[in-house]
Amino acid sequence: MDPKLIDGLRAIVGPAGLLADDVRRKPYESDALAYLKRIPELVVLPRDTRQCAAVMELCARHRVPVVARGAGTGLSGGATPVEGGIVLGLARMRDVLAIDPERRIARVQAGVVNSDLSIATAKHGLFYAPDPSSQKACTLGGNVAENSGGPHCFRHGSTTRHVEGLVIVTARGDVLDLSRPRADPLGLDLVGLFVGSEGLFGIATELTLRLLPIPPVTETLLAIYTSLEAACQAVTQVIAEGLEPSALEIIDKLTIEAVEASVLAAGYPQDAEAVLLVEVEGSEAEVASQTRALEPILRAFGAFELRRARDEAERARLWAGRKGAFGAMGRIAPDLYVIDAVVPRTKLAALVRATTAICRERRLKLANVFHAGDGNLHPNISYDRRDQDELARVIDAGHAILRTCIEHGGALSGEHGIGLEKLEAMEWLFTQDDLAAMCRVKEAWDPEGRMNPGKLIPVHTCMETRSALPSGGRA
Amino acid sequence: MIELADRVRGLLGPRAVGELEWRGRKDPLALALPASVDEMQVLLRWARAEHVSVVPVGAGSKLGWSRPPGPRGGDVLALSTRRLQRIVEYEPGEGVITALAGTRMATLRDAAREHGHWLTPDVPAAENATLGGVIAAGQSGRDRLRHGPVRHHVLGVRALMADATLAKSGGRLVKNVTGFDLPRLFTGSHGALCVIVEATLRLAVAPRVEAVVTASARDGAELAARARAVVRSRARPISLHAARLDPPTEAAQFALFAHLGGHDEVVRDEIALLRELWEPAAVFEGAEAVELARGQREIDFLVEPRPWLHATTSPESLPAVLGALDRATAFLPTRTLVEPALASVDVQLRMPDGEKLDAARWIELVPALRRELAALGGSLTVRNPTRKLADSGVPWPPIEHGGALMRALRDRLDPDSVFARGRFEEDL
Repeated sequence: MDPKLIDGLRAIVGPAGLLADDVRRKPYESDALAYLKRIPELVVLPRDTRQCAAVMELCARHRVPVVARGAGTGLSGGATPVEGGIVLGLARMRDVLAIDPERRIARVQAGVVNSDLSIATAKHGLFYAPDPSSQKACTLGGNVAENSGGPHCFRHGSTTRHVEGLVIVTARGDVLDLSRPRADPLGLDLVGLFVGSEGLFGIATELTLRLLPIPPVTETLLAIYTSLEAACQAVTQVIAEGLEPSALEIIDKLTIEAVEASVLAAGYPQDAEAVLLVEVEGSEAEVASQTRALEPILRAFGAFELRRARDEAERARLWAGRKGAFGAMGRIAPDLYVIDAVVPRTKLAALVRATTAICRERRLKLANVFHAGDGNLHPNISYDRRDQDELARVIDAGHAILRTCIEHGGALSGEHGIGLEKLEAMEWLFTQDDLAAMCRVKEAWDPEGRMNPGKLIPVHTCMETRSALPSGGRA
Repeated sequence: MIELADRVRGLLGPRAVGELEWRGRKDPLALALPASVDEMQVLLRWARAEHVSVVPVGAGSKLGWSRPPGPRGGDVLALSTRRLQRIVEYEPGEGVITALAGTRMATLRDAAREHGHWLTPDVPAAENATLGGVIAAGQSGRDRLRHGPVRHHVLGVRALMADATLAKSGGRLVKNVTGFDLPRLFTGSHGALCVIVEATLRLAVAPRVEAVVTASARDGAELAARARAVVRSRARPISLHAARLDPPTEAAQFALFAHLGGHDEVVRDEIALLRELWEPAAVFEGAEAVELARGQREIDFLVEPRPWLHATTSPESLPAVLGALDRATAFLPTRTLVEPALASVDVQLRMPDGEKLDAARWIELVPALRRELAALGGSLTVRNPTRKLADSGVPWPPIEHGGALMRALRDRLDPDSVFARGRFEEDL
């Protein structure tokens, strides 16, 4: 890397904001998709929008690719470093800038950790709804890049529905202030378009986020099943009946065993094939009527036991087991491949069946823990990445699962994004014309293709789009 | 224009041609009415080759929500999706509905209702409004308070791009982050980027029971306070709005309406709560409530072809904004609708019979009023402006931030300017 660039970057962010030596760059070699890695040439950690813009401007002048990174908890390789590029980490930008309880919005820097926002707003009776399992570590900026979900997105929607405004630093280093919340966008909806763009458009440095009132009453139910399919069918029926719980999560036997053997033991029954974690929230009347309607449906599909969290502590414990499930799986094997796929909610049982068969054929250990209410599957395959043969079978199984989802009207990702992991699969779901439209949108934001290059859209598609432009791609 | 119509007739046959009155433009536009996506592709390829600007429209009811297409005097062809009418997929257990762009919102609403779903956005004049038109205009519904703006509900779109290719984005899934969120880009894009030919909406659950609670407010401050009390409470109304009484009385300037819905016991609880918060309040239930809520939605002058001011602000500035609008429009009769919880105000300018809006006066007045509202954190648009007013460009606020990027998006998606420019700003 050009020493002039390194000196220039150090002048902007100070010595503490620049990681150049091998040891300190190493932790940035991958995100949570650990099988893809590359040590970045340089890691730059700005403190605010102004520094970030200066960094981007300098990188533009030197034509250096930029990969943005929050906490690195992403599961699709969105933050995997690229050749010749820097990693721009937002982790030092962690100030909650303002909380406006009257308008129920918060302004935060991109590096604020997801759960810290709800902690900061609790005294106003407000919370931030999207709650990825990694919420104690992942950053809100990373959530915006990936349009992250979480169990409670079943009721409240993914990140995009909670972003009211953004300050974006563009690929050229310009600051685009779209932070003022408006009922409707003035002109095109750039904020909505940006959410979920996986670092390919620019860097969101400040976020204006919508807060919700903490519900007066929350009821958490655990329905216990002797078959995973029955639990899936119960979920499909709950949705068909028009009930509106805030979360509908399924946890299967292998996951239960792992959780119960870990420090996160939630009291899930180990004789169950699957448990369905259901949460209902709202006013007392709302929770009572929803719960009353839910119980017969949960039982009709064979729930042999129905537990209610008696107090906040038990509720927290049931959720800790769910949210810690990925970590607990570490007991089974050194590595875990968390697949994120989404299917129509009426096809859950069929997909779970197909997924089980795919993994059995490949002699792989499969556990399921997923956002059933949204049709968002997370087949988790335990493996050891040092075993090359096993790793190949894992990746092959992942592909087979995604193809099956597409055959059933599903898509490639419900909340983890495409990144590098599913790049190839984009062409299974989308035509060249579909992808060309996405390439053009990308080029409008980043004409030089320096923002997180090689992710999300297969490169050759964009090359073809460029050559089709009248000006030969220099527009 | 006649020549353009003839050429479309030659391409697509006699049934595929009409004309479209566009308030804010002097002459009607030639209107192409293709019967299929294939025919639209033929038309777009031809338009591109012949340098004809195309402006996509649905039923044409919200054309006055954005600037009329330019260049004025140039060949502009309106392309309507209204003949593409069909529900493509509606699996009730899934909670999403997919339809062709010309499908009327009422068709979708009725289909959804049959299976216990609620179509959001709940728009007025749904018998006329098309799915594609609602999305392209970014029209949210009266139910926005509970269900959110339309842009939160467009799950997937199939759209014809300027090069006549068909591009799909999103899908028929409630949760999906596969690829960029082009449905968000296309929602509210007013036909500047593509022709939406099919879309999927997320459905809400239909309330089992509905009720309407009404009360009055003596002025803007009380209106804001009463709305705030509801928003701060455990109640979750479908909508909350107010109409200015005509004429106002000593004791009341506004009538407030809360549309409630849900399970029986939830609605009971909310009625009791609102009675307390809005003392004295009147309650309507059952068929009466449904009818009243429908009437309140349809009374909307928002579908009449008359000019109206659309202002948005923050809840705390609402009384001040109401006052500013009042003063500015004091010289002519108006009707005012307020969504106090969302801090949006619509003021219809009602000209006495035979009188015309004094455009010159409004050309001066609008920017001044806009500045006044901006100082209060608000914004102002004039919808359905008269031609003279539209020509002045003042009805639409200038794009403050991101204009260059919006132009770049346009230039990349439509390098040959197939879609008529100028829907947002002069060349955008």
